Amino acid sequence: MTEDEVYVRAKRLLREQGWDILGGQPPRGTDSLPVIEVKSTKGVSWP
Amino acid sequence: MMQGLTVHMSVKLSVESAISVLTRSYAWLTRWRCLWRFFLRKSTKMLHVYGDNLTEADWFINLSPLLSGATFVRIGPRGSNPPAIEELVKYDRPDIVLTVDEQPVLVVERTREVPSGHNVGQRMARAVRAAELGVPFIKFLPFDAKKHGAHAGICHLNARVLEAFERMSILHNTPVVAVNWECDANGELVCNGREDDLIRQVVHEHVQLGFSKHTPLLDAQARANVVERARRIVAYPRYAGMPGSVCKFSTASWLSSRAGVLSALEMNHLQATLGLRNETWVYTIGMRPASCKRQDPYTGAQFLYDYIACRNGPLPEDKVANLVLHFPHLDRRTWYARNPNNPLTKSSNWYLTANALSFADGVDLLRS
Repeated sequence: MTEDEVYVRAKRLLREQGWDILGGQPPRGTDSLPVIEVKSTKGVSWP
Repeated sequence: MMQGLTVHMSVKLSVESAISVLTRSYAWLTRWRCLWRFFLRKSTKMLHVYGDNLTEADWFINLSPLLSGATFVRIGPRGSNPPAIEELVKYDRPDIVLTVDEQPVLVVERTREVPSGHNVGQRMARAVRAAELGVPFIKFLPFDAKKHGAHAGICHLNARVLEAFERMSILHNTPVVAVNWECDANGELVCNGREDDLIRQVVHEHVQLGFSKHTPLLDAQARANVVERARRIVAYPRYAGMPGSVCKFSTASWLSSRAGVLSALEMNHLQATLGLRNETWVYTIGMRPASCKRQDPYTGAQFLYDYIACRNGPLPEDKVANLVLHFPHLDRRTWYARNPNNPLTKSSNWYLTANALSFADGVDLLRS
């Protein structure tokens, strides 16, 4: 299974089970989910 | 004895007629089965969504219930795709290509980025290729959205993109439209599903109406883009004209300015070809030798300026003014070593539409 297949299927499965997905970022391309970025005070970020 | 013979003959005849009936029935059934298969094949369209990315294909398929049977096919390297796809990806690889029985019927681009600043023309070649082949093109993007990072702020769609789309739609008689990905009051992208409302309607109608090139919603969106462009030019007047890197000259004066690097023979040849048009637009690209093996964003931007200022027909030769790509910091040798016109690579995009390439040491004609 490719990375984007895991992403799409996991998203579908979570939604089917009633989860609200707050954010996510596909391995490539564009998705409608917001990208969540965590930043330190030094300006280093981890998407 | 006679009775026995009669019985034997009648049994024989019955068997023969049964075999005959069976044979005829089988032939009849076979003929009808072929016909049935023919009609079945004709009525069941094969829908494929070609792309590089399953996430985007999955989003697209979910835009219309009529696409539920569509299957995702990954676009392979150049030379490995069906002929119609090969033609479509000749300049660049679009995000989504919808095909019906292997014939492209719609191309969709989807991006979270607002085309502004340096990346305005970055994906333009994909739209151009779709329009050239008569395939409707939809770009789904935010018209105004917040850019995050060190220089956070709201970015606004450059109106030249909408102007180029409008020109492409007219010259190729094929809709090339932008659909807005809505943002909230803070410029953040809406991501709750509501952002797809308009594109969902446009795509669904396109499928519902048998993939027609001109559907009411596609044409309405093209008209809305014209209004939006006019509004943006008022709101952001810098988009009304060309950027500083694109200047108009009389062809004679521009050729004179290059006389120092042209032989008499070359000058005569250029006067006889480029000189056929009174005006020449020169797009100056400041790449340096150390970083000149690249295409983005310049090869896309050249189409913007070509369609806005030069083109008057569907072919690159159909122009009212010449388009010249000028590289003041590069000589010919460096250029051709790094950016050959090789159709298997994206560097061939440099040669798609301009009339000439101009270097520090000369000018090369691409087309008259």
